[in-house]
Amino acid sequence: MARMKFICDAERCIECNGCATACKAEHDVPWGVNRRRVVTMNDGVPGERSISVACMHCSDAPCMAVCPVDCFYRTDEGLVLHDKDVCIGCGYCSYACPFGAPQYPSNGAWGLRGKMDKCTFCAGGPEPNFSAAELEKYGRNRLAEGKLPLCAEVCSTKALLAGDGDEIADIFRTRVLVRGKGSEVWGWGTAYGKPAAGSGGEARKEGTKS
Amino acid sequence: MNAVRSTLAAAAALAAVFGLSACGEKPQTAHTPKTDTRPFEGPATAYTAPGWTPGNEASWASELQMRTQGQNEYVRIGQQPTVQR
Repeated sequence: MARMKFICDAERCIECNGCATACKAEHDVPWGVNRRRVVTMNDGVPGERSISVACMHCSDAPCMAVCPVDCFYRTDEGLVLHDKDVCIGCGYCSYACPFGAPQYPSNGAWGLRGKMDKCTFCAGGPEPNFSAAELEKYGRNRLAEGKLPLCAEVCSTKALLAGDGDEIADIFRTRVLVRGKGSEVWGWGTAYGKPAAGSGGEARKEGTKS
Repeated sequence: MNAVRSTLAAAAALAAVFGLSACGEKPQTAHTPKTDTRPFEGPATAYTAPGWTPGNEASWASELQMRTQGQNEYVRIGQQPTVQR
């Protein structure tokens, strides 16, 4: 088993927030924390794109590098996880992460404090698999059930891919080769196929009603 | 009158005990990072996906590969993609 990764296909994401909702519900994520969220650029204008963002389980993770108590660890599957019993809530990781993955609960007497929380790739934490402590601190452990992260499995357009990095890269690469790029990606040709020569399809493509 | 007063006092004391019980903190001790159990080590639960045997790494990897390929439409519909040139 190689490294587990996420890839989000910005051409396919329809900003339904199904991934974020599924994550929140599956792991009973604390108030104020969104382990996964959907970011939209150029909202409402042509060229709008959305992308689902969470921990990318970096190969050279800056959160691991800056943690003063070394609470992060990397699993054999390439996942960057953390130990909440060791975390001191200093917040360095949240400043170091380019994706805003490590977050802090916003409730409690001290405001933005407490143990850091982040995406676990649905792999729980260092507690024994399926233990009550693991469920309470990190949420469900789907990977130990032989399942992929729920955010990817519920994605209706399969914009969000999860799994072995090499395999999902191949899936994504094939998609890109098939759909092409630029104006071929979306529009008339994608929806109805390319018009045959001499069929008058070019006129319809221009927007003329038939 | 005294009975009413003592009942009220007892009720107030009980309310205070129950009300303040949520103000406690869970005990915290210094830890060093623990070692994680591998995902294929199980144990099996009611939610374990059928198709693999907990404890068997190869079957776990194959189950996950099958699920990963389930995200690939060209595998699901059984067609080879036509690549645009």
